Amino acid sequence: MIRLSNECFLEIFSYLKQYETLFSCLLVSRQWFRFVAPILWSKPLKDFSDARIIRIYLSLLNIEEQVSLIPFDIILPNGPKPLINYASFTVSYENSHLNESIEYWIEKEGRGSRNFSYFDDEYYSVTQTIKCSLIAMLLRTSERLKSVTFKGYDYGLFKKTLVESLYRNSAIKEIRLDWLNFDSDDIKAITDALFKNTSLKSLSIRYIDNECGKLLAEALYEHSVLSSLNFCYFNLGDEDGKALANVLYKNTTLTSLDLYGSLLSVESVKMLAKALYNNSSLTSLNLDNQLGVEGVKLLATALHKNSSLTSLNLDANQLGDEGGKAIDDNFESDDYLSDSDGGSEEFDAYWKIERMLRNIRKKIRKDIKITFAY
Amino acid sequence: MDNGTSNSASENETITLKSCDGIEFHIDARIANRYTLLNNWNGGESACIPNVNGKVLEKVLEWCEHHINDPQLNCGDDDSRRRNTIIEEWDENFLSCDQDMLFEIILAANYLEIKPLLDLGCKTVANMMKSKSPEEIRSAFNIDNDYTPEEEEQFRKENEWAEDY
Repeated sequence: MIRLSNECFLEIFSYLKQYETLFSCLLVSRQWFRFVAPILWSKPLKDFSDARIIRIYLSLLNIEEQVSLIPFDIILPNGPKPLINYASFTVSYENSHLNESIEYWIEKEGRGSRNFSYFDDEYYSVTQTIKCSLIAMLLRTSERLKSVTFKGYDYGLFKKTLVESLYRNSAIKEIRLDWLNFDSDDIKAITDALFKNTSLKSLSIRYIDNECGKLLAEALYEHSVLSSLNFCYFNLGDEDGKALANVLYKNTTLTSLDLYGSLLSVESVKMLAKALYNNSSLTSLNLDNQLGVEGVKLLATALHKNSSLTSLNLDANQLGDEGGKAIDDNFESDDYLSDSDGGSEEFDAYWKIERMLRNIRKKIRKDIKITFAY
Repeated sequence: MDNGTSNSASENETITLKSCDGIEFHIDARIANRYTLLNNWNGGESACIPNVNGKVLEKVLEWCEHHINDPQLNCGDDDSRRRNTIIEEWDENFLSCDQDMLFEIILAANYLEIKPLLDLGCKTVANMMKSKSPEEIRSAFNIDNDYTPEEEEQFRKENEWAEDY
């Protein structure tokens, strides 16, 4: 009887879609276990929720991770430790992955139900604390974790492990932090780690209270692989703008910069536009953030020289509905400007910019995609 | 495929391939050009392919011939290939041979680096595994169970959640 090689089996396992089938394969032999367990546990809670997985994860916590659970009298699973550290196979963690499963587990333990206890403070604290301990454990143990998204809860519990994994250049390529309660020490810890890090490819930080644009940007001047940077809803003053512009001057790996919803000072826009003028690696820029007429003009000028950008989003929102509608009505009419004697100044200015951008696209940069809504 | 001179071959050009048991096949040169490994061997008028016997090579070449006008796949499309689990009718009939032959085709496709045929074979085998118990899979694929009973029991418990999805 012909036997397939391990190489072929690995290929075959990658086509298995049902967990049920993977489960059968896992129990076939030790060799197959080594192939199948990493697939089975790569992101088990992405598609469904199950308290049994939380049970396994909880039994993998180290002492430090267990400590935070003590005040809540959470009884950890007893019985034999898992034969394998299944958490080490996790490849991506997203904010929502653990929530429901943790709630199921708590319900099984008789510590409240997700339907009745939802607004109970203690219940909320228990779920969040368990979640943070598990995140710390995943960050500590998984050598395959490539992408992580964290959102607004007690960052304090896992910040140390996150910073550590940045230092040791773990597999993590993509980090997204939303609504986290950073203090200035946290920012310092992260920026210090970013100086040393050589593996992160994409960093996205949203809704941050602390004004840290400058510090973060400085840490990324010469980052050797970072290709995507996303600072959403930041308040970017002159100093921050200067630091970001410097990233565009110095960093040659960055291809995408997204400043969606961030407030930029006029000076910042100037500096960014100037940097863009000379930059040749950035392909995508999102400045969907009330740049003002002057800002858009500056950027438009930069496009005369810049040749790498293929996508520019300038969905700046400063015209009212009326203005927007008027542009719509007259969009196709090139001689509109000469006919216009009514309308506000601001509206005229936007129309000029719109035309300027269209001309740039037509005559200088046919390849660029410019989004400009109003 | 680019149109470089080394790769372009006219329809009438043929190349002779020889299986490990000495059976000769005259194939359209475009087939050899399509697949790197066959291409590497077509230096002379006839090339010998070790490790693949005549019976299997005949099947593999039959498949190549049928798919000669397929668009070339990009190497980077790994995920999209995997998402697509649909098998065309002709391919399904082609692979509904006995299991030994199916396995030999997979091994040959792997060895000869004929990626689309390897994918097809692997998809077919993956389909065969559906809804089978570990014991059924072991006997179908000729694999010995080397777990201790305790070990097997604990692994079963730790992973039992997977049975429900």
